[in-house]
Amino acid sequence: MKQDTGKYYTTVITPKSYAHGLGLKELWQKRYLIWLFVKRDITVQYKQTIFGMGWYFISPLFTMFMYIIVFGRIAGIPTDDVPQPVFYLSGICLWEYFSACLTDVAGTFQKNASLFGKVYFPRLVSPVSVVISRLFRFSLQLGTFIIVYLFFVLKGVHLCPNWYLLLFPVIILIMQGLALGLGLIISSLTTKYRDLVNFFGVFVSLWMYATPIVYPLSYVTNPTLHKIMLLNPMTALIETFKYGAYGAGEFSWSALCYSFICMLVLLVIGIYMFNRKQKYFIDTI
Amino acid sequence: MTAIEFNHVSKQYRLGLVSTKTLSHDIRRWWLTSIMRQEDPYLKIGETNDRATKGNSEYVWALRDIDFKVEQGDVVGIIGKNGAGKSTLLKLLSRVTGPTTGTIRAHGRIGSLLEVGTGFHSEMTGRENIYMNGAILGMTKAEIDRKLDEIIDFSGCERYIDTPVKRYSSGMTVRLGFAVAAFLEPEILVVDEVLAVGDAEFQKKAIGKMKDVSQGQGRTVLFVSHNMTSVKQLCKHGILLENGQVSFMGTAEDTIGKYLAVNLEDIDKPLAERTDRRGDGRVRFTNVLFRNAKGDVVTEAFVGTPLTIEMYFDINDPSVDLSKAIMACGLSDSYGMSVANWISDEIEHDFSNLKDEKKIVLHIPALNLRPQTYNFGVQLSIGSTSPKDWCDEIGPISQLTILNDSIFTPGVNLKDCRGHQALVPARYL
Repeated sequence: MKQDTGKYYTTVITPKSYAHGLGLKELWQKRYLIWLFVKRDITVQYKQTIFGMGWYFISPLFTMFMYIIVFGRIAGIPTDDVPQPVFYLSGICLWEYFSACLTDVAGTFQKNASLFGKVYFPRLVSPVSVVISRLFRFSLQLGTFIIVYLFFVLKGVHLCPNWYLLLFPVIILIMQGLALGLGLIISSLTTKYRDLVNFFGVFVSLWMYATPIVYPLSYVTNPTLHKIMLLNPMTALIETFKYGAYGAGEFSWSALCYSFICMLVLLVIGIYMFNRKQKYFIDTI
Repeated sequence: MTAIEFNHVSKQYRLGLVSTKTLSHDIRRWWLTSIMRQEDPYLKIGETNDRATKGNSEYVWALRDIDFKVEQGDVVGIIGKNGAGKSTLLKLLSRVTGPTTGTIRAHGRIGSLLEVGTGFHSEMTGRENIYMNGAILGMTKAEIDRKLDEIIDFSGCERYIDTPVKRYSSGMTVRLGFAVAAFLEPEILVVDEVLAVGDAEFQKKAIGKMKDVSQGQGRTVLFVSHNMTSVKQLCKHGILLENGQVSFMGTAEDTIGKYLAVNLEDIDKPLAERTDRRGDGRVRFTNVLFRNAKGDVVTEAFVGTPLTIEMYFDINDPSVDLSKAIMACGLSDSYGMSVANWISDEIEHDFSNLKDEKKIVLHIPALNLRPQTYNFGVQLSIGSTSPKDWCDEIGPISQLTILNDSIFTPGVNLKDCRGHQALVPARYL
């Protein structure tokens, strides 16, 4: 829809999709709706679960124990001299948030089909609100990490947090942008070609192993592999967090900038593709 | 002043499943339109959307070349048979989907109401849902804050407003949903048959509110309905859609007249040849006869006299289990309002030997309906009466005229009167 404010008609509906712009202004106008969606998602999660709230705290611990056994004990992969629980939990928390956002955003059209079929509002409202409301669960899991972290600090383990920890909000923002951008691209592709969903599921689980979650980046000694690892925009984000939180891992401003640029490119492509699809998706679902 | 303008608007749908053909069509379309700068080849094909005849193309025009204007403050009823394109038209206007070709222009904010209570979540309270639904429908927070009391009052759910909606009865949910919608204040309101919900008292309230909105506040309303009575009550003008095209435009009354005439066009055809039917066709009705007390085949009967209706059918699928058949038939008035229905799951009957007889007979002891001409329709389903279990459903099959006679006082004919159809013999003591 275009707003021809200068002319008599305020609404013009044509077969063309967005001719220009990403529709961000329209999205901003709907910030109250985004807030309501976020509030709804969180209340619903909160109300439906009594045991579930505890589950959010506990579930990363289960994954952590599994990693300690499989990657720590059996495979014997080092953890940069950081206690294994702290090392694994930091990666698990960030990755879980990222992959949950990605999956949810990718399923936007399928999940909201009935709502989108009844009323118009800028469709971007839904994926954006999902990324925000997922923060709720993420903060609980981050709480688990902090508890485990403090436990080791009290035990006298020297974890040396530093000023780079202040980059945490930046890391989260870049992660959100990446998940949103890529998720929007996938959601636009899967409206018509449904079997891409299967491919996508495999892709996300493999991606985790291409990101230094279960092993430190320093463990990748092969220089070519190391370079390839850095092409993954998630690598720098995870490493920056680990560097800030406990002084292990690699940090470089250029790697972080690279992630940021990747995020911007994917986000713009994603929004563009999503906006092109949103107008006709209901016909193909 | 024009409020809405449809300019050669068409909407094409692709039928069938997404297959490898989708991809090849998409690639070809992309190649021709984006690289070769040609016209989309698939827009040239496609057929008018006549549901009854089996088409040859997988592309179908749900709307074709729709061209009309609506003046500001006008209330326009959009009528037509199922599948004529009414809902597609509203979907385009409410921007749920886009047109294939053509342009729609509108002056003012469009509020659309294709469903009541869109976005309601059962875990949230009534109050929370008012905000949610209002925001989804395009209201700002300030607007909702301002109207909150009125909305709650109109819904009549004040006592439960802080209770999760999952504890509401379905009627209450509908009232709450409609209450929010009623306080939307767009310049153009698009409404799809939402009045057909809720109890009679609430429907009256809803229609009253719709009247206020359109008449008192001078807003433009587009209203889709199957209920000719409410179209007639509410609308000034009408648009009749037929197979995705505008077949008539005029005053509401004229349009309704045209629609009803179209509906009756098929009535002269032999029943077996009719194609305007729904259901999967396991069973097809072939003939319907009305017989009077003497056993003569009639099309007219005196008020209060007995009538026997014989409905003959063919079985196309021998495996069909007719012992679970649910037969429904009924009379409706010339506005399409159902007047009397006889549904076999309410009237005890054993359909076990239906397979041999291929005939269903209904006996009405006394036709206590006000004298006028009624349309007779039938529907046979197996197992349940939900549309997926329909075997055959066909609209006006034939007409039955009930002739005036005395029913209350011997020798005194009934007076001409409209508004109530049932005549229950009684006397004042």
